[in-house]
Amino acid sequence: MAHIPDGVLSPPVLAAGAVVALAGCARGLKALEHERIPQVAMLSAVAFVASLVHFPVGPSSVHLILNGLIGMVLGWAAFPAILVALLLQAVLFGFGGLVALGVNATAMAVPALICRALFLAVARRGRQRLSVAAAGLAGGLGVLLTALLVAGALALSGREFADAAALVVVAHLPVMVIEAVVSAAAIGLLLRLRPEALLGPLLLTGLMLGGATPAEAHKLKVFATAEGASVTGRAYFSSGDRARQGEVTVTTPDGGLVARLPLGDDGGFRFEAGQRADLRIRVDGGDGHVALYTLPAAELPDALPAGVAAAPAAAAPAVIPAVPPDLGAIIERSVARQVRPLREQLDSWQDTLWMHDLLGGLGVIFGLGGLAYGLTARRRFAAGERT
Amino acid sequence: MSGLATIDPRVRLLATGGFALVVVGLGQPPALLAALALAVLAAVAARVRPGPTLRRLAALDGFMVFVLVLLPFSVPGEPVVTLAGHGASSEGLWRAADILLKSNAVALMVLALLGALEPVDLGHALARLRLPERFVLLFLFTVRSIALLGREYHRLRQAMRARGFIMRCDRHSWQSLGYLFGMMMVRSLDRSERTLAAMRCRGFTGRFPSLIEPRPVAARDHAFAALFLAAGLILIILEHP
Repeated sequence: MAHIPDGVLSPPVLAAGAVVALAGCARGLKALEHERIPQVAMLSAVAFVASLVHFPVGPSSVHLILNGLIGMVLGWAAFPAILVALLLQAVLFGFGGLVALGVNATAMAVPALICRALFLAVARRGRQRLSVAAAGLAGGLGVLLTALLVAGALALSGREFADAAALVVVAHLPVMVIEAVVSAAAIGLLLRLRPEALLGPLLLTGLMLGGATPAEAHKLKVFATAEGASVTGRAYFSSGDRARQGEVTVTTPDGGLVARLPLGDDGGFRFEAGQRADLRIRVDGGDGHVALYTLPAAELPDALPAGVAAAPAAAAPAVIPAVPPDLGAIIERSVARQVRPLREQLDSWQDTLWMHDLLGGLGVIFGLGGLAYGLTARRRFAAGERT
Repeated sequence: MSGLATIDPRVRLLATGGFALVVVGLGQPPALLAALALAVLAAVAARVRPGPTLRRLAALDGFMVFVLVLLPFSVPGEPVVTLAGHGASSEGLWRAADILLKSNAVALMVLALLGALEPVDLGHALARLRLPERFVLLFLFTVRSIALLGREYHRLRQAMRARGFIMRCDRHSWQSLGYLFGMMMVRSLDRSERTLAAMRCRGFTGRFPSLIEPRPVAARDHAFAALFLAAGLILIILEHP
């Protein structure tokens, strides 16, 4: 319970706590992308609610600190999350001082980070039981370190606090035991149900027992359309993010190279199709993300030479004037530009739709089957009644 | 509501922080008593409910009871009372009283000026005081989530009670509570994904424009701030006569 009130600690200790807390929060906030804020807030709210639960011990009861648990789940984001929780407790319940906020946050967050490091070192080996044991140890260690830090802050503030500091550590021993068991159970459950939240998607291989495929979560996709002789396209992840870097290779069916160029910052690319053939566009986004798209020859203007040998991309602009700027070509180009976003969207939906289709189809089959069964049963029931 | 409730939360926040800083630096009995009187005055002006407030202060003092009881015996000095062979020094007694006065004065002021504030308003005040935007967002989301998850916790505990669970001081109880917390985390992971999807849908890019809209400080806020500055000065003058 890092709830040291104001008036106890000496100014140097208060200042040191404030500096560490500020630095830790700055580091934590830097690592916290805005997309993760709801998640971090909810997890720290769980810890906040859980730390209000009374655990009976003999005639009295104790509260948990749960900083080990917060640390294991949140990582560096635990620092600002703990500061938020302490600020709320100070304002809502009058627990802990305002000036001592820095010391209190430090006493909770630094052990949280240590617990996280220890837990990950074991959990990355992928042995479930060992990981759960490590979680329990880390949970207990979080309390012990917090008690030691609080005791240290007291002892540094004046020699007269030495007895009280020792008592703080002793008083936290029961909390340590309870929290070890609670943390092991909670982290064990998370490891089984949501391992990716604890370990990150890359570290899962050892723990995953099949079933979920996190790699599917952001498949690289590529889409391209022809506007006249120039082909523009975009590479994106199925999560909707644009691919930022990668290399585009365009080949003809017989393997001839048409163009090779880097991906733009927004995931877009553009090249001149020097010939009228099925163009195979391959985007390599790194990290094993490869996407393929075939642009059918029918989309390219007739004016292009059919299937000639590979024309380098640099030479391609020379081809454009060869396209007669007649009305037909202009219409074709503008229609292609208008329709392009629609087609792009359709293509991205195709990917997500098939699961819905499958389920929907199954639903229809079940529904029709049920209807048929119901009707026949009713007829049979009615017939049975009559006889 | 009292007149205090209409003061801008920013001003209240700064006033409380400044008060805490000044009080922590005090050491003379008159100044400390004046600080406590000021806090009581603020509490009366804010019309805090005496029952819950006193209970909170008692909880705070209960937390410090170790420190306070041990101090008279651990501070060297002339013994005033002797208990089981250990003398309680007057210096130690004074030190304990000093801590008691300071911590209660600050806690009472916090409860008086900020206790009645909606946590969301507090978050907005933090944003207008130019705290990092992400910190403020984390604060606001946490406030919201605590309300949600508090209800969820009670639902799950009720379900456990329905299955005959009684909280005891044993491993089984602790483990069950651990699973409960783990389950809450799993659910909140899913829930936060839905929240994020809904926010994305509304074009969330990490900022709420309404948070940084300027809001002018009214004349009465200035008056309140001036009053507080004067009070702080009086405390400092009492400290260094």
